[in-house]
Amino acid sequence: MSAPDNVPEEVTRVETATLRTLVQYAGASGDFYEMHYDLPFARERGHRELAVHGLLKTAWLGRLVEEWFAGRGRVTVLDVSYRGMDFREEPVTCGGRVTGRDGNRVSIEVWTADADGTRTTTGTAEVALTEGPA
Amino acid sequence: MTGTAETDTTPLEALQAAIGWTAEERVDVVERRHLRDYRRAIGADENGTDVPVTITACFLTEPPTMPEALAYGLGWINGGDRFEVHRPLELGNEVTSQLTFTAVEEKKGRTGTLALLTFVTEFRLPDGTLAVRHVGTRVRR
Repeated sequence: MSAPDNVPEEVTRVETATLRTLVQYAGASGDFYEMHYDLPFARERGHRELAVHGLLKTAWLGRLVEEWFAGRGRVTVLDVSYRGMDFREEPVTCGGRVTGRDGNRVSIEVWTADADGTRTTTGTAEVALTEGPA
Repeated sequence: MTGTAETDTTPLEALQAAIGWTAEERVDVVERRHLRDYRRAIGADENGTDVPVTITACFLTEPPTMPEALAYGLGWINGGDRFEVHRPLELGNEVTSQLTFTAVEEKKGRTGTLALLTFVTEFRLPDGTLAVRHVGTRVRR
């Protein structure tokens, strides 16, 4: 076991971005690139639907890890690469799995996957535990 | 007159020459209303006061305004993001940052040639403490 006591080794959660989600994220983040809310613009660039912001997917992953380790540690690194696009109204599975532990530092693999199970985001996170080793 | 040095420069060469380019310095504050809007947008409890690890995404100059990047390809794609948290941000914190273009690499993709651009942004507190370092890979194609 690498995760602390009473903390699961792996978690997943499904997120689905609506148009409202994408507009809310654009407004909150200040990223108003039209590909995320202007369908003709997105289609002119070869996309079948409105694209989910990469940084929204990263935010979902950050929230996943923060809620997973809530009260037990804090995220010190979140590092992702985008392998594929996700689109409006399509389920995005966000996942994390503990891969190692060195003292109070936990290493985690994170990912998003589309409805077919294809990983569209891959990456890692590190959590610094705020308690001693279990 | 034809063939000036300027017109002979390829978009990639222009990008390589632009390494070191910086956006304008900016100052942002983790404000209560903004935090609520951001938490709601990412699906978190909007009444929570914990500052998400990715909040500084809101303080990036995004998409980058660098002219040499806009002259390459037709649009932006996000290639990757790295957040290194050195000092967690809290509600009310003021951070100063400046996006810097640090590297470019050209690759052959499935749909043609593309350029991978690396931008680094350090977010510092008023006393100079490094709070968050962000590394963004942005793609022009």
